[in-house]
Amino acid sequence: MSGRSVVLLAIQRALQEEPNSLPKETHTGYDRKPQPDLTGTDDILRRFSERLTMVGGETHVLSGDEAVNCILRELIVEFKDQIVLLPADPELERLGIPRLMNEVAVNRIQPESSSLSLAAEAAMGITTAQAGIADTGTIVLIHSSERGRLSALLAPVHVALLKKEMIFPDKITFLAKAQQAGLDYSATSQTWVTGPSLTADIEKVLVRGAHGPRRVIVLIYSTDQG
Amino acid sequence: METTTQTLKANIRSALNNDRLQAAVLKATNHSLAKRAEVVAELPNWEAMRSEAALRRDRTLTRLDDTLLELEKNATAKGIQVHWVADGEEANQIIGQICREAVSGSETTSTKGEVVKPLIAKSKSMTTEEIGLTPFLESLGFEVVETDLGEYIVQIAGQAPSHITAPALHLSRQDVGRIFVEKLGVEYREDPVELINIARGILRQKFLSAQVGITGCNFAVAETGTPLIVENEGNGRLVSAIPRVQIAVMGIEKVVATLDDLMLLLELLPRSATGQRITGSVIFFNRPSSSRESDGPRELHLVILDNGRTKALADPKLRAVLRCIRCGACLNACPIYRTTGGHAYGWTYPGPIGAVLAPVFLGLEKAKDLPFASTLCGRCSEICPVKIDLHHMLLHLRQEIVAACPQPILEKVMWQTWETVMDHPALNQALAAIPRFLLHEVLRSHWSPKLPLWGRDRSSPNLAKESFAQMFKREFGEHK
Amino acid sequence: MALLNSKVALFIPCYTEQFFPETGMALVRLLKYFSVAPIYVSSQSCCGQPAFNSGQGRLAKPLAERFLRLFESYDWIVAPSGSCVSMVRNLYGELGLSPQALRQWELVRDRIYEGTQFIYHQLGIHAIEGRFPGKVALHESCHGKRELGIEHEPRSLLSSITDLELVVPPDAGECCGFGGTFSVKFPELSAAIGLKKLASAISCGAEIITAVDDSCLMHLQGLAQRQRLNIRTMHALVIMSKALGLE
Repeated sequence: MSGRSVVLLAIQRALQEEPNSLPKETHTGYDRKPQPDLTGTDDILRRFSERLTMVGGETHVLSGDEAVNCILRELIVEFKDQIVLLPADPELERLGIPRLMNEVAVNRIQPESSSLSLAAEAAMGITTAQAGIADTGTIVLIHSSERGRLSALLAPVHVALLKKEMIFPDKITFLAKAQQAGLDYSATSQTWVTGPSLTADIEKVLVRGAHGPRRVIVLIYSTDQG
Repeated sequence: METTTQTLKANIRSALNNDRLQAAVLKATNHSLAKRAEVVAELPNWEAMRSEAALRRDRTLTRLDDTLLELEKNATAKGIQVHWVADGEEANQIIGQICREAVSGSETTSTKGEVVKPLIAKSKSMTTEEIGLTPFLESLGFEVVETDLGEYIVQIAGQAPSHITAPALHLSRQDVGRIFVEKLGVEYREDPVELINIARGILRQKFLSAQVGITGCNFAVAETGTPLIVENEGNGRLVSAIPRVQIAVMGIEKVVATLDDLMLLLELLPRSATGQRITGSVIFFNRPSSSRESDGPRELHLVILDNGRTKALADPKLRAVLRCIRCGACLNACPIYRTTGGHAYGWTYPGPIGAVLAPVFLGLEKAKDLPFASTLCGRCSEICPVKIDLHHMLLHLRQEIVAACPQPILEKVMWQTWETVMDHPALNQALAAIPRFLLHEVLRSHWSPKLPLWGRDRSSPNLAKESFAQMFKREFGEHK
Repeated sequence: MALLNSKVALFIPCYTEQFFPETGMALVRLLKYFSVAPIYVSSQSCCGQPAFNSGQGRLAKPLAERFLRLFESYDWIVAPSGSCVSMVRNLYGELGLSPQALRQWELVRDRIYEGTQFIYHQLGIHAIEGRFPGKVALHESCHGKRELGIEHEPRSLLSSITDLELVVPPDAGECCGFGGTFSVKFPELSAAIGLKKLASAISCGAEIITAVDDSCLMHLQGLAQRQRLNIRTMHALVIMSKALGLE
């Protein structure tokens, strides 16, 4: 008998022996909306920034592509002559970031087409985030051939570009609306990232920057395309 | 494992003699409880959330077969390879096989001609600890590296994790410093940031050359066919990003029916475990990477493990233990754990949850002492985010153990005598006729300081000169 | 008072009977002071908890059935112990009682009360108009707190006493380490937990540590004595009775 049938049979036998231990009373008073007060865009933005800052992340709210370019230039200049990871993401292309990086003279690398050991040397990674969750200050990274995992992961600094209208008040709203916002939750692997990587494994002392980024900077922008 | 009375008592004694250990454990558990209290206080409906989570976990358990089949169907449709295993031995065999296939044909010698063992990187998983996966894979010739920093520390120290969510909780920074000197040959230092930096540097190289990634699985969503993990360090992200083969190992109870159920549990787990609103990352393994993707696992395996869990499922008094989401809050709150740390329990899962799981997973006889190593104070049940009635389960297991396992004759006789006396008021009164004053004096001078059962650390209570019955009669004269 | 014509029975736990009769007497005096004449059924023995907690539920069952037979006909049952009350109220259902005993249990479980709870809720007494000088640390016995929900009753009654300064240490709700047979199976561990408890009460400046269970206090008193610590134990009911001068 295969492991599958052994396990299933054991479960079915156990359930027959003790078919239903559920209480009759099923009203628990649980209200699935944890943050009913978040309605307006400003509220949502404020909560996102506040919560991400609390866990050591950084946010900038920007209006228009030019503003994005401006602040990115400031950020990238610090990494002149160093390696910066940039995936072949059309949105990053549209925002003119590859061009910007050439101007600032950083060593731009596409982790998709370079060696792992070289990518691991990077000082910074720039990616888009497909959604944000205000309640926890979380960014949602949906992985695809154009948006690999490593650009957001290998370098000590991760800059994520997040469209303002893609920030949802909480996890439940995100999942409910992801589909209509064009994000197919179950089709692709994804990572929800909240702030820098951290550990408290030695005497509960909080150390930011464990195996992943030490700094997470989220640039929230509204696009010129409307 | 066998927790005999002797080993358990010896473990406890050695913990009680280790002041450094006790201080580290107390400090860490207090820290976790305080952080938890902060983020729990901000949710006014916390109690309702606990009740709802308990109910939903129970609902899923009552149709566990269908829910797992739904998980399998949806996961398989996306290309995840699902393996069902009855016990740890089977799990290890299948995982070993997958690892062998993953590395076959790859280089096994370095440029210098030395044999290089194929490398497996693991992110934290108590389930793989439970089945002894690491030593098994090592016996097959793999190098297996734990990448969670706490887990890495205990791995190089040759120890086991002492806590479900904080494996190195029992070690002070000085302990870690000394372990690094001895095992890694570095200079002594005790600054946590510096120590973490050393470990990070070593582990970064391991991530880059790992050929297989092994993760646990905090939950698996049936309706979407999605295993997932929560973590903070980024090691889970790396283990599921770089190796082209990934294996996620889950107990059968880790399945949740819907994303909505998952969202509720994602509120409860990080808050209870680490006092966070959410962990640094939640990684959803929705499908293997396509050939166009340059990272992530091309091959994604999900191993679904029973290993004794169906024994709890079949027992109406114990089924609810399968609600457990392994947050470790019951350990932090338990007066025993807080005093001895996790190693005293002598098994993978310490604390109240471990004392319930051990007799279920290992059999009553093998773990017959653990359920008795509790004061039944109920802090565990009170703090449990899914409302498992842990201390009453321990009480229930005590009955089962006494009924099933041979008891010391002396204990048996003692209890039987006690019951006979208690059940016969005439006998009781006859005993009461012994001049109490005499008894009082004899006990006070001879019995009290020497009573071995009561231990060396406590004076025994004095038998009162008059019993309550005598006092009441003297003062009020009326009895019924 | 509505209770004037009710039959109120005392339940005196086995260890109170032999080791702490003063606690039982304090309860009697307090009840009388509040115009309740309690009845003492002398053929009572143990509720069965020590056996049940030791896995000897088989032996606890006849004692439970005996308890229910004896107390079935009373309107109220009052005991100076949260732990024993919790055994009757919450755990008798686990013993596999006879159908008759189960019927009796349905009646008895709602009528049995721990002393401070009875005084507070059934007698409606929320303050003790008496005097007891001293700094007293509260230990919230586990079964009283978590199984019976006792929280504000002893706090309110004790803190109302003139010259009594009630302190609630940060670990007031944590276990003292007694745990019944646990204290004999694992004496060193039991002692280690209890010493932390005592140290915390002492660091609050308390001279006395109080609780609604003599079992916890017996353990703590034994530790304090053997280790020569400058703190003693006193049951909450004894403090209340002394405050009212009922001796």
